[in-house]
Amino acid sequence: MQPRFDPIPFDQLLRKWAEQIVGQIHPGQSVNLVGIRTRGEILARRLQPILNDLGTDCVGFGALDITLYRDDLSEIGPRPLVRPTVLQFDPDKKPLILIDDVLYTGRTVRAALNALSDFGRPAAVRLAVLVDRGGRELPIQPDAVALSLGELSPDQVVKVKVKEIDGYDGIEIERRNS
Amino acid sequence: MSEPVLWRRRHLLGLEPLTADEIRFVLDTARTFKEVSTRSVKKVPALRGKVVVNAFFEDSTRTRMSFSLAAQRLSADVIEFTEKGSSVSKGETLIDTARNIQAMGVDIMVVRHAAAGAAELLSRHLDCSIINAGDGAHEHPTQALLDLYTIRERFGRIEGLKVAIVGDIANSRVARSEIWGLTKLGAQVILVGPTTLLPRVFEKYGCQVTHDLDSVLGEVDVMYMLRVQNERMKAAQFPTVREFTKLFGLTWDRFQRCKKDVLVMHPGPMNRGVEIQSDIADGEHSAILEQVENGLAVRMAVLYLLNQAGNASSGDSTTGVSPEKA
Amino acid sequence: MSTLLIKNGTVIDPSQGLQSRRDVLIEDGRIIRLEPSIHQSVDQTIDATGQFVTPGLIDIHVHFREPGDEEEETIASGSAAAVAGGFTTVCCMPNTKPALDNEAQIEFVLRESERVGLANVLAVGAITKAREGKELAELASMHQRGAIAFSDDGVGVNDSSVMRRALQYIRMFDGLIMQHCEDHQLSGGGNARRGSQHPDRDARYSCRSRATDDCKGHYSEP
Repeated sequence: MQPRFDPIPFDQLLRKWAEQIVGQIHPGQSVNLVGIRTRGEILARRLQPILNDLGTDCVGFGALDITLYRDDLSEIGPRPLVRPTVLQFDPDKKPLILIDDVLYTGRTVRAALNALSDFGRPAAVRLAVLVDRGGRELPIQPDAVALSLGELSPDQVVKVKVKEIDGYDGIEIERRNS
Repeated sequence: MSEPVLWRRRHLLGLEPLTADEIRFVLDTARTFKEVSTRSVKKVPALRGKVVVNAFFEDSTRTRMSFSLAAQRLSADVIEFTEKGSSVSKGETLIDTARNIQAMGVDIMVVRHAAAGAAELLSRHLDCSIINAGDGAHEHPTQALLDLYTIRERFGRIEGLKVAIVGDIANSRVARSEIWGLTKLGAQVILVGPTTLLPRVFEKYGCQVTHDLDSVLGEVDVMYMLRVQNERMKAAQFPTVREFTKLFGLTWDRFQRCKKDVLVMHPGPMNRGVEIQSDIADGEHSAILEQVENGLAVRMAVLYLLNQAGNASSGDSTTGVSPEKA
Repeated sequence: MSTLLIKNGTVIDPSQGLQSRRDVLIEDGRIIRLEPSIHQSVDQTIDATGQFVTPGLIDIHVHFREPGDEEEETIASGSAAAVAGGFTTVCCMPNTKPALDNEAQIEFVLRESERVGLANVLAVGAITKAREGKELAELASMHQRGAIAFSDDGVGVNDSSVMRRALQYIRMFDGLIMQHCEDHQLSGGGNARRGSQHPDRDARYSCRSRATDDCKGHYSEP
């Protein structure tokens, strides 16, 4: 395992990220936040007060489970529990910020966009990821990134740790075991 | 964080072989699928390109429709096969018939048959996943799962509840699956029926057996009324519908003596005025329509889980998913 | 207070193994003394010399033919005959027309008996509907209404599965079945003797006593 990667404190990273997100929307415009389960949801919850601080009103909040939309579902075996997608708002007519921890191949985002379209038609969808590690397999790019790691090797794994689940905040890069 | 994967079975043949954790896992998964049915687009692509066949060798309307819609909401292709009057003695023919159906490229076969063990037999001879949608008087696992789901949704738990199952226990596959499911999840099961339709042997399964419905009314949390089958009269298993109602029907008078928050359930199709009085079936204590609604979610969950388990052979099912998800 | 003295009768009481000459003193309907000789002034004395004095006898198998064959017997005439012969309690068989196979019929017998007001007339309900031996009658309802036992008297329940269900079903309320023990496939057209007049074998093969009376020739195997 490689040493923990946290050159700047996590809170500052979130703040930087939130500022980028605000830059993506018109001043004074309210947005809906949707996090991709599991860590995207937690990061979205963390972002919510920061965005409010910065003068962006988050009116709706949602959590998306993309398992059922995976394009490799017919190849992978048994999965952990699929959790419900919860969107407690009408997604139509407002911009929606889609939040995830790590952007890699782009397939999760593709699945999330498909899932979102089953719930309604947001005015716009912006993609905000905490870490971009390169390696895209689909033409998908983020609108807000807190940390760009360039192009990592496929045998490297980026893990975002959050207090809510892991007991601490941080970003780790590991080598795949196989 | 690594969540445990609790489902690795390719077939759902009954609740008897399942562990309590596996049953809970199906119920938890079903909760997710119930959400799908609330969306504006009530469909997910989880079984896209898969083929589900409803192979019904015995009459059914609602179970077959429920499985069809569940498969379609998962984007699977659904084909229907119905053949009435298949005799118990046609073991060979059943396998041949099923093999022919499977040859059309079937991934999951939903089987209903009048012979106990039919689904299990097919699971040993076919490559596709098998779901038992009722085999003789043996098991009807998805019915019990949807009932467990409904009970858990209403009470927030199953453990510690007292559930009375009333009526023709001896001939009921629903009752047998309920008994397995409820006892595994820690509920106390009280079986109520005439001596001709409720042999003492059921005590062996950890159930309380009584022939006096009135004596248990005040203590049960759930009243599960089974359908009265008229053909049982011909077989001298009970005298008349009238006497059955008098002894075992959920009448208004009996309902008044139940707990204030009693939940009334029925697997359908019900005989209004026979095993259950009409205004109780339509009242706020009745979960009968919820059962049907939850049946869809539970069957979607089962189809999804079996399909995922069926994929297990194709390689890296454990390491194929990176923390980045894709 | 009214007193009655029954003198010089032979008192039979199986419950205390008694069969002797005794006087019986009854006060307000209760037996208060039972002695070889009682001398007391009473309101009424009955001289029972040369007669038996017994508890009320019970006949567990009577046919009062009501409803349906009132020209043969009625609950009123049968009750009168019963008490005249010392029987205070009788059990009516259900092979009436229609059969006593539901609670309304049971109730009719009990009410009629009450109206007549002589013997205790109890009702035995039919095991199967119309005593046809096919479908169970409403045994629990009849039991609740006061049927003391069940029988298809006149015919036996020949379908063993129906008989088994009946026995299972009455277990619910700890009921009683009085089977008319006759296998109709064996009894056939009513021949009772199978080629021998030996008394043991008579007993063994005798299926219907009435048939025995009718039977003049010997049964020969077809």
